[in-house]
Amino acid sequence: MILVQVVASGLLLGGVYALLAVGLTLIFGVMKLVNFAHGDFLMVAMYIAFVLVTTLGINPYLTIPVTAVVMFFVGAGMHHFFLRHTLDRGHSNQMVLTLGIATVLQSLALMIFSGNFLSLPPSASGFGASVVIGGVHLSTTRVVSFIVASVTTGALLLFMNRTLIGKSMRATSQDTMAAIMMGIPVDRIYLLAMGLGTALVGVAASILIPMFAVYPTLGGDLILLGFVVVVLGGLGNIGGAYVGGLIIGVVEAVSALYFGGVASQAIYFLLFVLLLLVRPQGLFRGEAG
Amino acid sequence: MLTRISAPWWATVALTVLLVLASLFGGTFWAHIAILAFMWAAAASAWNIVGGFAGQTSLGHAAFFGVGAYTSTLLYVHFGISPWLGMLAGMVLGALLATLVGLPTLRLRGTYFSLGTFALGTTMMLVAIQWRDLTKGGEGLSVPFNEGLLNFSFLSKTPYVLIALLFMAISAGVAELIARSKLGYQLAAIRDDQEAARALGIDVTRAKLIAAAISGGLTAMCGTFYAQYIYYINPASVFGSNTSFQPLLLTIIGGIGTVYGPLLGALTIVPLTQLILGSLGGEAAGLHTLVFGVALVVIVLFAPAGLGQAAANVRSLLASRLMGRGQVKPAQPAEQKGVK
Repeated sequence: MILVQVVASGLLLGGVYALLAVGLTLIFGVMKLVNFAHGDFLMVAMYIAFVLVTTLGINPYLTIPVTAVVMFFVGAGMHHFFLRHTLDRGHSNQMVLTLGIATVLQSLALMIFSGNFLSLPPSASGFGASVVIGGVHLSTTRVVSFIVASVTTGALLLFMNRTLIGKSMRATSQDTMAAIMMGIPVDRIYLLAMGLGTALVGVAASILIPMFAVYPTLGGDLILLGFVVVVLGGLGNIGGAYVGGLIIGVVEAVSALYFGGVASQAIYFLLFVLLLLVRPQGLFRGEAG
Repeated sequence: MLTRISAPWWATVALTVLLVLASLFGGTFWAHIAILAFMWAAAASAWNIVGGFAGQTSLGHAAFFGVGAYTSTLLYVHFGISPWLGMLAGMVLGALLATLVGLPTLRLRGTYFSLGTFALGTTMMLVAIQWRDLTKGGEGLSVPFNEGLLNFSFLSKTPYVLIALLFMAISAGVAELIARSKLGYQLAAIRDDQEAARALGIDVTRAKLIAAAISGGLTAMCGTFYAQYIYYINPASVFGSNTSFQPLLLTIIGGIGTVYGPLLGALTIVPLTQLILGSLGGEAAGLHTLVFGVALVVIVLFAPAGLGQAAANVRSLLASRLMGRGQVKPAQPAEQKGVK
């Protein structure tokens, strides 16, 4: 019974990992950019959500539109002011640029909020502590976060598959040169991908803040996990990243049950390295090929 | 080869001399700055052999740094073995680990290699936290202090300045030797086009592995120095991701793929951040890393070939303005093959 409990709990948390990874993989797929600032964007958005909740006294889930829109512009701005100028310079140069931006964001957070862990009181979400489904106790915040993450991913998939802009993004992801020749404004697609991917992080922040404390180096602690999920799902594969997030959520929870928290992390990082060696294209083939 | 010493080398030598003088006459604060700058210059130079010469952007060099720090410290604490011998043992282990880890990971390309090494560095940290019997876990290890050359322990900071300077010279010297050797040219060929290098008969795996082993060994040497200078190590301080990122970032700032780049980057940025840290202290937590981050962003955007090339550009610009000779050349962006 305890195993069912743990698996369910891990699955629900995996939904949030999925949302983080979906944004990361969208950006990678379209721009071929390894964005090390992605986790720090999450940290920034969580601070925004935290401040909104504590100063205005609103329900954390109501901050979703605000964090999503603000982070959209943060991401788009990052492309417009920084990344746009380095896209032709190869991956390590861009990676270093995102590391620099990550360092700046962490430092600013430390200067503004100090290094303390900030968390909302458990009552902030406005729901009861847990629901019981089929004899399994599930934390309400986790259930809500799972639903929000799943709906958001679903909406993104619809957008990518059904709209012309979405299709242009997928075309750019599959073959940038061909996309340019088909008249797709690739620079604007990049801007949009960066904005959308970062907006997803905004949504993730709003659903995480009732569950987890925010602190300046949170992004650095989560980014590797994000990459693990992204590679697992196939670089650039949005549906794959979602499933990958759920898998990692369960693997982490179950191995933490048997081996303890630290060992469980070591286990899935080793799994990650093995995966890189044996099947670098991920469980599902990445859109980026 | 070098009949005329280039501008970046002049800057590097001048900064080294300035730091040594500052450490001799500026008290312990300046000595501390010089020690850290030389140590990180040595580590960055070691990283550059794999990251710059061979173009394999490693994000896991903390693994070797940590192995160096833990090997010498454990041998010293448990068996009283001189940290100098411990350092050699750590270097061998670091080189072995780099080879073992390199065998699988060096087959990965671009992004995958970076992510794989990042995961390995983090895994080493988690192992160090978990393996409490050996490492005391997150509590960390204190290095017992018994002054003496054999114990690699000194009351005065001056010996540390000299040793760090020596280590920097060793690391840069090895890098210079590699750059001039057949291996150096092979690595450059691999960096520019691995398939073409292979087609020309270069044993790509062998060349990369040798570079990784040398780089890992030299990084472990810096790890032992860190342990013997700070007298305390824990998994986060030696295996943490910052230890992996620092050499990479300093190298990029100075000029990746050149012998002077890692030195120039470390000798400018480390003193700058330490000065900010020292003068503002706890009042402005985060400011010194902010400066670091901003410097990085500015360099990548405006001088992608690093400070050294920027210095050379300024020099030729001045020469042409003042003396009406010399050609003004635009900055050459460091050619890095993008991952396909």
